[in-house]
Amino acid sequence: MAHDARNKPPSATKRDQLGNFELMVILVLIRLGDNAYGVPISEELGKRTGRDVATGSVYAALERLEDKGFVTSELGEATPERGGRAKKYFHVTARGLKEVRETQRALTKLWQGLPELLGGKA
Amino acid sequence: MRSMEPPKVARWMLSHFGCSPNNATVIGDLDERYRIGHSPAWYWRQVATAIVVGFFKEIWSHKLRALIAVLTGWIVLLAAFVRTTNYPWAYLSFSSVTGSIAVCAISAWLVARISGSHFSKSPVRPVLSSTGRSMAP
Repeated sequence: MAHDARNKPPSATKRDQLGNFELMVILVLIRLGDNAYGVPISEELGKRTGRDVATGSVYAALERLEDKGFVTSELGEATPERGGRAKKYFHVTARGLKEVRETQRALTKLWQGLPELLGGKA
Repeated sequence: MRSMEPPKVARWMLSHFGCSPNNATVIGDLDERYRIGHSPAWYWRQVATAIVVGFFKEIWSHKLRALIAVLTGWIVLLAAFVRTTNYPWAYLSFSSVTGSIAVCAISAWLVARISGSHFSKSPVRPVLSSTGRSMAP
């Protein structure tokens, strides 16, 4: 099937798009602001989604986001309760924020006019 | 009463078999969360997930090397099977194929590890250093 290039959304390639879990992680990063390191990120995700989120999966998503340029990181302080290991703080970049806005816009458009999703009944 | 010290074996496993570039940070996070009040079973689950996620991420990011390692391992196994049995077609049974793919996937993981930045930290370095260097690009 032939695709018309003009129908492509303005946001770059598929590789640069946000996956479902990546979107959740980046929203939590925005919510946490300057205190976004592994522990609060995992706990906030667990609290908001109602699931126990694996720290390994959170870091895998954070590494992908960093590769895409949506997130930056910096090493923080080491504390005794972490066995002397440093924290790593994550921050959303301007590019990451732009991508979140575009994803929100696209999802909102897809959400509109779907009677099956109104009323909250499964 | 629950010990405040996280399970040592689990932590050792993650520090040696975890592939994430953030492995030390992941261990620090798990230790911190464990001390907040999670159970040893929770810690073990988190460690297992981190190792498995890292394993697949590592294979995915070294697709070509992994494929070469799987194919090489499979051909070696097939050759060994053909030489040692009168029924080489038995090698194509479901259990043989899945078993050899699993073995080859693990060998692919090891090849990916020893040829990447993890090589210097890898516990298999003394065993595989000579073959690893010859296979690494």
